[in-house]
Amino acid sequence: MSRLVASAPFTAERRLIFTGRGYVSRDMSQLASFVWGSSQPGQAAGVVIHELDAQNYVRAYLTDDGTSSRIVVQSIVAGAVVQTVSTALSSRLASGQTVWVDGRAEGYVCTADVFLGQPGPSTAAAQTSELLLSASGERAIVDSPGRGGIYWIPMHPNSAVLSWSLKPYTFTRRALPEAQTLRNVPGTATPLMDLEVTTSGGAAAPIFALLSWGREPAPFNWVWNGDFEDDTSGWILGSAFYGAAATSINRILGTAAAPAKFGQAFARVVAPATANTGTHFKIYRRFRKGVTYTATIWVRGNTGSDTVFFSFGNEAGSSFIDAAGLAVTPGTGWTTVTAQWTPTADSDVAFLFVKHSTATAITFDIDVIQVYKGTVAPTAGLHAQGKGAQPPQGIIKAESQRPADLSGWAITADANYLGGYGLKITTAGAGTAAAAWLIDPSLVDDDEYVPGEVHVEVWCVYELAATVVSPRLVLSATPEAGGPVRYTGDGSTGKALVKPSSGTVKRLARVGVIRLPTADLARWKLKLAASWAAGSTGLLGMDALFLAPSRRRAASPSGKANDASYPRFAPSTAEITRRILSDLRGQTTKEPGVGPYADAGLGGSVLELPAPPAGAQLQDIELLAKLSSLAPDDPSSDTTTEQLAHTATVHAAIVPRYYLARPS
Amino acid sequence: MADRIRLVQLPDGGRRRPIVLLDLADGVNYVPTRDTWKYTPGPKRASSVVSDRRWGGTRETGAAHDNAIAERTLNVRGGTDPNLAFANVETLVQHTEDYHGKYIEWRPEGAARSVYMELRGTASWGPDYKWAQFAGARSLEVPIQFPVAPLGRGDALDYSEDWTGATIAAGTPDGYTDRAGNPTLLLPAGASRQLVVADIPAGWSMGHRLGGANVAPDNALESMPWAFDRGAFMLDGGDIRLTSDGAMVSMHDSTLDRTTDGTGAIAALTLAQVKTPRIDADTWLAPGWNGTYRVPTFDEILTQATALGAVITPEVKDPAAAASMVAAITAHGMTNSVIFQSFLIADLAPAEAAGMKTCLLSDGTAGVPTVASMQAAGVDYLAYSSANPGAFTAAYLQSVYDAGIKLAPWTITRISEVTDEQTRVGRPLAWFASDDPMHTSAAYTALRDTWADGRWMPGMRLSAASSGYRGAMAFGKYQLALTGTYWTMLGWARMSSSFQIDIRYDQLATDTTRWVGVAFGAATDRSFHDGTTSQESAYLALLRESGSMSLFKRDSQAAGGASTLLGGPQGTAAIAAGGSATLKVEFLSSTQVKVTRVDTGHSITVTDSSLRGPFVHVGKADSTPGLLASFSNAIVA
Repeated sequence: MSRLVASAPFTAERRLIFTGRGYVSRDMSQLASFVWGSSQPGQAAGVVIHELDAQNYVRAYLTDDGTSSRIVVQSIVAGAVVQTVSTALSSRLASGQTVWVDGRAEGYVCTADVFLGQPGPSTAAAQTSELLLSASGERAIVDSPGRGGIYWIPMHPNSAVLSWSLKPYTFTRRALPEAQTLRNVPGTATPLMDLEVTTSGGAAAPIFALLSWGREPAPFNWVWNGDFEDDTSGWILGSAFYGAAATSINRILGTAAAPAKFGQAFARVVAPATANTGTHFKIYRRFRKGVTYTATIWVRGNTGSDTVFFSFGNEAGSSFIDAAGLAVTPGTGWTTVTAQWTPTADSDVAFLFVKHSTATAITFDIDVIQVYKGTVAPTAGLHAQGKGAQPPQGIIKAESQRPADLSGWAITADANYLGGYGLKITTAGAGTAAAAWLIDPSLVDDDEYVPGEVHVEVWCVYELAATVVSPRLVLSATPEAGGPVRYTGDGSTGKALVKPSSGTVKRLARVGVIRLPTADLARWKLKLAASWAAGSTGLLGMDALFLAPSRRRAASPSGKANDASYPRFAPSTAEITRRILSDLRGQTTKEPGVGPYADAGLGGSVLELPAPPAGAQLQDIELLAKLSSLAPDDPSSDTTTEQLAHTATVHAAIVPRYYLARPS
Repeated sequence: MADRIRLVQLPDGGRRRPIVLLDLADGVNYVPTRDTWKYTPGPKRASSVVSDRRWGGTRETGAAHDNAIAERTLNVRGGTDPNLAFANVETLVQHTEDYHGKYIEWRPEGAARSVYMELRGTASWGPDYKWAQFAGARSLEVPIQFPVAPLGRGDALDYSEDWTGATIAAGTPDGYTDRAGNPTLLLPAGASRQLVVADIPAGWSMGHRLGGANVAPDNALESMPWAFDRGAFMLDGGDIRLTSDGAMVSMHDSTLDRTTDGTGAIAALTLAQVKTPRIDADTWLAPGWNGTYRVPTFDEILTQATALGAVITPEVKDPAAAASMVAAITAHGMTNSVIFQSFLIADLAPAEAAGMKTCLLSDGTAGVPTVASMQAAGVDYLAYSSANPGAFTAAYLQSVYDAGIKLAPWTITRISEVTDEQTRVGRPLAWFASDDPMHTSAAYTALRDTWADGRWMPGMRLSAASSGYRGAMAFGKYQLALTGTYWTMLGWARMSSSFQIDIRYDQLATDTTRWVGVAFGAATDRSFHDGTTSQESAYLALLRESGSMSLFKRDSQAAGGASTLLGGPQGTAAIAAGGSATLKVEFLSSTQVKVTRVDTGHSITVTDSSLRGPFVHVGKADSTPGLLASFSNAIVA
């Protein structure tokens, strides 16, 4: 094999920035292999994770400090090192040893992995360093598309670069299901996408895959009751980690003297003479490590004077941000405060805790509360005024329902449910349960040639005891303000759920396709109603819903028995890479360098991403990947339960396309 | 630069470089005729739903696009050969017949990315043959139309590169730029790394006595890989003498006595007798060099140099060996990787005749060699003793250099000495013999000590005022084990923010004001000493036996090498004999300096911004009966 070698001066930094294809990217994963030239300290071998220019970049590299070999991630702003994370390898690299360095950026998280043998996409690293970009200058680097490349200080003529590869849109060793954002996908026409899913480990093989894609929804408010127009539903007094309970929170109709910030009503918090007392709202949605989330609240003093602020962070209170305090006194108008939180670990529940700071009894008003991903506030009227709703695309956790619509089921903590919570009921005789989630169909694209509408396929993971009699699920959608009910093809009688032969197990079901309007700027209720017949005992639980626009998804078969004829997505728990080409053909690679072999593809729509809006050459895409150890709606009645998650590396290999090769 | 128009295949979905089948704008055989590139989108065939209302019209429910047409007129040439022009036309047509999996790549001049148009059928073409054009320029115009897919595609965003089979030209590989965006990185072709003399950068260090006598055993074969692995890839090739039975061996001295546990003159001993004693470097250099090293033969040195890929500079110590040395070098294929040295100009003749670079050594004690004599002998380098500036004056050395003979002083062990000699001579230095080449050229640095291996680390140099005592290495620690005031630079430790070290007070002085200290902030690697002889300014953090800790600044430029107390004395716990303390010195900011006795938590912080250099020294000051100290666990940041 040929290689890159250096001529003197060997102590000089060699930074080779890849410019061959003319693109710049956001999140990138790069793998480079090197010959470690000597045991000399100061040598460096790695990758430029993301470079804006010669003075502003992030790099990941192996080096030697004289005693140990170390894997380092470093941010450089205006030519100066801002942050360094350095981890020693368990044993020092030897001269002539071949090593691989994987450097990648996902949001503000920059990771460096070192491997001592040829790695596969899911291979565990020999050592890892991880850096969370925190300063604004550092974050500015990855906030704009940039380039990757090789970072190398050979120090020795025996050093060599053997290989280098660049894979934008790689999400390494993730616990699926997950929805990921592909940022800044280029192309003026429908880009082609080959999806690579590399699975490894777990108790059961992921035999089923559901993949769905769509344009990243416009910013939306994750607080479904931030306007208090109807009630104070969802707001809870006190919090285990953020402060004690306020006395009360009440919906108040605005008056000419004390109007609501938007709409007709606001909430009034009565706080006792105890510091840090308040009320919180729980947001059941995944908050990703290294991604910034913004919270905004409007506040007005009513009685007493104090400082009001909020804490925004994870459920355990281990990662949070305190917003700057707002001094409130009676008679002053609405004022607003905004704070941004970048989680240091993935979190499935976030708390927004509004409180006052000193031991002074006061009452204060709050209204128009927003939490959103990123730093660009939602502009759609509903969301801007505090009415939050989720897009009908991606994952909706069962527990994120609106309490006013909940019947039968109760939110229950369970580590074996996605995000640690779910809806559960123990049946006893005939009964029903229902839950509804507020969604905003206008957040997603229309179906092609069907202006104003989108067909959404809904899947769910449920838990069911064999002793429940004739369980059924009915999926419907209605405008929040009321109107005709829309059902799936199963109508109002719904879908019969397959039961296990014994015990209580979790299963994946395709609930059906529902048609939603995208032109109405209104919230809709997506409702699941469960029923069971007399003689029932045992559990019926609801874990999560997976929403895939039906013309932008590909999946393994459902409704079939998981027998020898079932086209398994991954047949074992060994590392296997399944590649679904853009025309839905399938390929399998069993280990690096072995394959790919032709294999079963998926059914559904070809993997063409939406064309960006007119005038744009870049767009953000949201990609949902859900794997299952069971065939959905498998009619055979066994006792197998669905595995909660599957660790996998997902890579979207994008080929941009253009409407026209420009004529001269 | 012109438009890129190529017929290509895209392997593995385009993740590698395109395979170029035919360059349609190579400027030699195919030259696109300007302004003839035309792209005609295919018509759309829509499927619609027809309304049954009178004015309802139709609504589109789907659409398909026909192939587009990409066309270009090419000027197809054949140089002076009309048959070649004809063949080039046929080659073009031939490629379009089998169109599956082929693309037309188009990258307009100045664009950063290409657009690929997938061929969807055979091309239409029609050579426009004009007798006068063909007869005169051996070329004809060929308009050609390619049916292509309705959408152009770009390169895949994924990309992989392993350079397999690639011939990598000097400069940056295609598709990459350096940190400043310039396409030059000087990456030469080839996987072989047998360095040649031309690879050695100007001003580079040669590892004296096979590796660097200050840190590696003198003339031991094992010093070569040790030094090479630490960045010294130009090494001494041995001091070659003949044994009584005519074997070529390497030994600086004429006898075995100084560096081995044997005795006797080399010339009086057989090879077997020379090979019997052990080079006992563990007794005279450092305990970690405790192997079974033997006096190396020249053949062993050449074999080792070849294995490493090193450039070597063997020296003739016995004129009778010169011709045999040249033959051995030639036999090992090292002709271009050797600088052949001798103190006698006549010894260089066989090497010169064999095409090797030659170097005349001179210490100047018997006068300096004339330029004319060196020119007549074809000498490439003059290796002169930099310790004898009286003989080797700047004017003389300039005349040598200006006559085309490069300069290679010996022996230099500090970076600052290189700078000083360069300044004195006023001409570039080609290379120089160094007893610590890892320090002087490769800038060896480390963040922790490796004293556990019982060997010197590069850059450990005694102070000029240390009376020749440089301390002693033990497994795991560095010792100042003589009574007196001694300082040693830790050249491997380049401090940017902090330096910490454990100090063991092995023996106490009767005067409890005696101390052990760390000097830091020195800008160069010149000698430091806590006295008027210091050549370099530095902060001095010291901890007295009494536990009193202070921070001084020693200014080498001030009269008498003035010492200024910046902070302290700060009382800490008194030191017992055999007791230890940990000192940490830090640059808190550009204006603040801190010293901490880590084991007690006492610290001194002062405001001073005058010194921020990287070099660190350790030392002690005592009186009879003396303070002895040892150092370990150095941590640099």
